[in-house]
Amino acid sequence: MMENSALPTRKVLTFISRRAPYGQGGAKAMLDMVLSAAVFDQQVNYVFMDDGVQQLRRGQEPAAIDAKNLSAAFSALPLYDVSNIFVDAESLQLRGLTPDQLVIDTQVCDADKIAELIRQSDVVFNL
Amino acid sequence: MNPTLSTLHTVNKSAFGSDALASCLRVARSGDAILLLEDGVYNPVDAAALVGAGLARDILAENQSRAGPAPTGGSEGIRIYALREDLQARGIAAEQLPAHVEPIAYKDFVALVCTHRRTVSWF
Amino acid sequence: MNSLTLPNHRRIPLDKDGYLRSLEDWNEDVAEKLAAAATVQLTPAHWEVITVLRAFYQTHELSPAMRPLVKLVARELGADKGRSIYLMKLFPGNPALLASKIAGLPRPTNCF
Repeated sequence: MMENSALPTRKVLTFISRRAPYGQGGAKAMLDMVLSAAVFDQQVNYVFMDDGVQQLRRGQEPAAIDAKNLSAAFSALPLYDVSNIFVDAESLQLRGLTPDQLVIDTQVCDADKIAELIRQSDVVFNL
Repeated sequence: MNPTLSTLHTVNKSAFGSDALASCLRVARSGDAILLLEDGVYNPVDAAALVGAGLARDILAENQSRAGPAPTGGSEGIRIYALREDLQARGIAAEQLPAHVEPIAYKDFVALVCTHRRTVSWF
Repeated sequence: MNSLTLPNHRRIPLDKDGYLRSLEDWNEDVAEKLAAAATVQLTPAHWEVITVLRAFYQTHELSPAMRPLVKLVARELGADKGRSIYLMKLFPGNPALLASKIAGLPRPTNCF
């Protein structure tokens, strides 16, 4: 498609989600930012690191604590054209998690890959 | 320093209560800068220890700009800075900092933001 | 407080934008009322979109914005219906907002 100067340019936005899903708001805020960026047709990388990998853990039933199920939204990401989803291998390993225990298929990556994603980004959100 | 590639990382939490520093060090790369601010200035960033523990690589043993202006194109390594006001507020004297951590003022913080392609805030 | 009054005089609380405060308050009569408030007369074409939206919300706990809504409708109801123009005719103005409202879902958060 031709570049239209009247339209905002397409930027590479990387979202590094590092908070567990409940107890703090960071995880939900990050998901909302990712979905908004995708709706505005930006190129999105969604990276789960540190406790953020817990967002992807299968079997969450947050109704037990009157919270919305954040993990339910992840399977809707393809509908938002968000397909660059990465999970830090070391963060998984430290928490005793394996990729088959996660709610969606992701690209399991190392720190070098995350460093590369940052280098390729116009803006990095880290929460 | 390649302005199209290099990243300014800011860390505002102590490593004793947060994984912000550890995760920052895992993905910071040569040419990047790390600025310690707020409780981030408590971080005992002992370069040799970090590199030895496999927590970081490329950290300069001594911050080049502290030793004098960086040679042209001399971008190797990761520079570490700490915000002077936050050090002062917490009773950390400049002399107590390891050689590779350079205390800087707010205006230098602004300059760092401007000379790097992007800023990543770790907290 | 904003509310909707049903023929049986039951009052259903709404938020400031006219969305149901409690998802459990939704039923087909409520949907008709919400639609009428936006001068929309619900037809089978509306209902099938509403059904798809409610199922999506049940699975993902998410009200879709416009582009994902178009893709969702295309996937569930066919490519001829998964088009903005089709949804605009059914839910004039902003289809993602209006369809979510009538379906009793929260306002899509990333939809302006």
